[in-house]
This record gives sequence, structure tokens and C-alpha cells, in this order.
Amino acid sequence: MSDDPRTVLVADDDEDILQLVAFRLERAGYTVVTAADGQQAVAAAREHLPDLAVLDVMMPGLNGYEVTRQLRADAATAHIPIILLTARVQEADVSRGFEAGADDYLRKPFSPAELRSRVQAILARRSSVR
Amino acid sequence: MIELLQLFGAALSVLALATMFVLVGRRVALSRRERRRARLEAELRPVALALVDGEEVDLPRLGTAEARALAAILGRYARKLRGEPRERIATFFEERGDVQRELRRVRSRRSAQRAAAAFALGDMGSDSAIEALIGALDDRARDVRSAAARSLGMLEAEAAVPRLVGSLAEHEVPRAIAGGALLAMGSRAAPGLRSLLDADEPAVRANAIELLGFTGDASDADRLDAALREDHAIAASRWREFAEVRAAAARAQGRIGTRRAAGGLRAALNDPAPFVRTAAAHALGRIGDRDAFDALARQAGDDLYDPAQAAAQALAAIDPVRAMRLGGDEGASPHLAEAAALAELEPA
Repeated sequence: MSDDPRTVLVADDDEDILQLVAFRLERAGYTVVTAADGQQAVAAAREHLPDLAVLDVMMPGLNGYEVTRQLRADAATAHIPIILLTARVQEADVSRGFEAGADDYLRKPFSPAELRSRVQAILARRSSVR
Repeated sequence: MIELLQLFGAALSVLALATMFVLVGRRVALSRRERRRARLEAELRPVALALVDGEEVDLPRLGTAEARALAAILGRYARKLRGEPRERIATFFEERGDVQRELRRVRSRRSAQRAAAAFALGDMGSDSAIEALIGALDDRARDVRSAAARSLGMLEAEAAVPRLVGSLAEHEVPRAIAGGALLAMGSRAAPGLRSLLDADEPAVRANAIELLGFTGDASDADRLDAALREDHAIAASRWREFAEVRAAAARAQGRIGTRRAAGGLRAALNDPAPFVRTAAAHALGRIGDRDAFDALARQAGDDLYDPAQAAAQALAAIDPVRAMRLGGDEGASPHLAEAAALAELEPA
């Protein structure tokens, strides 16, 4: 981890998930910004320009796919890697996420350690590309 | 007489006032209790998060309300987590004796108590509850059976798969709950479901096949193909049950999506049961089997409404350009025209 902590945006309408994800990522040294719905997530991404976003698929207002599309369509946020958190396990839903522009997905119920590993892997990959 | 009516009116007013006071008092008490619960949860949340994360927590001495609030948070967290954090939550409840208490309550004489206990045991995440929960699937109360099924899904109890499928087939538990529990187990349910493909009862086979479509993989294609070709010549009284097995096999093949399934699915377009032809057409569309195009075009042109509509959707998915040409012809059947319209919506 560099001296400058990486910022991760976590968006989920389930407060418990928000707390669990935020707690684990903060313990791993990340700065966490939270959002409780899709609109807040888009606004927070534009304001904070996080290094990575973890988005729930089923959120009120804008769902995770739509947030992903909006972030990809905006030049300022298009580069942000996105992990989708989904309770849906069907192949079609996973491919829908990738088609929208997500980099990875994680199935709910989730393992916080696995989430942290995926966040680390994606950020490390991005750093090595730059 | 008038005095009597006045007296009656006054009594009614007093009664109304008293009822209002009771309702207001109850509402105030409930909202006070809710505020206290929210405050306790806010205080205890950092402890719960640290416990789940595996940190050494010096747990303060908790009163009954505090202990209940902490258990409520951990129970909710358990529904959303898997892996080690869930195991830590189970250990927490086991060490506190909560699991043992609920295991006793699941044998209570009152069904509401048994249902609440069966539900709580799922949240606690302790494998030691699996046997009792499988037993609770035989409970005489539907609520208890439903709570047990939901909890077994949360515990990913592979041992419960055959009994859960039986509950599903016999409608002992609502379909959404038993099916949801088996789907929650994901691929861990697959071995148990495979073992039920030879079950005597067609309803059990059909449900196992349907679920295998979600949890299985390409290695299941051959056995599903065999199910798809099960003998059509069944006594009229059981004809539908056996046709349901074939329809489930067609849907499962479509979900798994291996091309090896295409031959059997093309043959199923000639199945005597319309809903099997419908399922086969949908599955061929998902697999994208170009060899099925002509047979699907015939089905879209000549068959009953549902199989014809399914064939139209499959044509549009398999080859949008050909579907547009076919449906654009003058004199094309309504479903072929539908195929053309759907094909226009397909991404290029």
C-alpha cells in the first residue's frame, strides 16, 4: 500500500453490506466513500474520483448496471474499475454486468477477504499498466 | 329513555377516549423501544464488525437487551456473509449457548416457537443445527417447515438436498422457499440433485432436473439428454407428470448451454406435449443452434400459440438476418412476422 491511501467507492442500499464492506476495506488501508443508492453513487464517483468502485446490482433508482454505464460514458469516471456485487448467479446477469463495463463481480453472500483480494488485484493490475 | 341514550352516548365516548389513550400509549412505547434498539445497535455495531472480522474483542458484560441487539446484528450479518466470518458468527452463538437454546425451542409444543427457532438457527450459521432442521422439514406446521428449509439453504446443508427436493415435489414447503434454499447452495447442491435423477417419482425428477439447470454444468448434458428422451408412451393418467420431466430437462439444457444438447433438443421439437416443444425452442435459442433454424421456422409457422411464439423468439436469437427475411415475406404467419420484428431488436 502506498502512503497515499487509495479511495474506494462502495454503493449498496443495504446498510449492513455497506458497513461490512467499508469496515474490511478501511482495515485494509483504503479510504472508503459510501453511497446508499445509484444516484448517490454516480454523484460520489464524480466528486471523489475513486480508484475503484464496488457497486450493488440491485439498487433503487439506478441499478448497478446503469451506474456502470453512466460512469463509463463520462470521460472523468470512465477509467474507474468496477466490481459488481450481485445476488444473482445466472450467467446472463454476469454477462450483462460485463457488457455494461464492469471489471469483475462478486456473488452475495460474500466473503470480505475475497472482496479485499479482488480489490487489491484489480488495483495492482491498474498500477502495473500505468 | 332519553337519559338512557345520553348515558349510552357518554359511555361510548369514554370507551373511545380510553381506546385512543391505549393506542397512543402503545405507539409511544413501541417507538421508545425502537429508538432504544437503534441506539444499542449503533453502540454495538463496532463490536459486531470487529467480531466478524476476526479481531480480538474484549466483549463487555452485556445485559439481556444488549445481548439481544448484538445477536440481531450478527444474525443479519450472517445472512450476507460466507466463509470465515460466518464461522466466527456461528462460534459466537455456540459459545453463548444460543444455538443449544434454539435447538431446544425447535422442539417446543407451540408451532410459532418452533418456526422462530428454525429461522434463528439459520442466522446463527452453526452446522450443529443441520440435523434438527432436516427433522423440522417433517414438522406438521407449514411455517416451521418453511423456516427450516430457508435455514438449511443458508447453512448450505448438502445433506438436506434430497429431503428439500422431496418437500418441493410434495408441495410441503412453498416452491420459492425450497427452490431458493437449494439455489442458495449453488454448485454444492448439484451432487445431491444428480442422485435424484433416477428417483421413482417423476415430480422429484422434474424438480431435481430444473434445479440442476441452475447449479449443474456441461458434464450433466448426457443425463439431461436421457431425461429429455424419456418414453412418451406413458399411461394417460401420468402423461403430464412425465412430460414435465422432459420440459424441465429442456429448460436445464438451455440454461447450461452446451452445444452437445442441441441434437436432443431438436428431437424434442417433435414432442407430443406443447410445453416441451416450447421449452425446447427456448433452449435452442439460448444455445444458438443454427441447425435447428428450419425446424423452428416450421414450428413458428404451424404450431400452437406458445410453442410457435417460443420458436419465433429462438429464430430471432439464432439468426436475426434470416429471421427478418423469413418474417418479411408476404403471407408469413403471425409468429414468423413476430420473429422478424424481434430480430430487428437484436444487436447487430
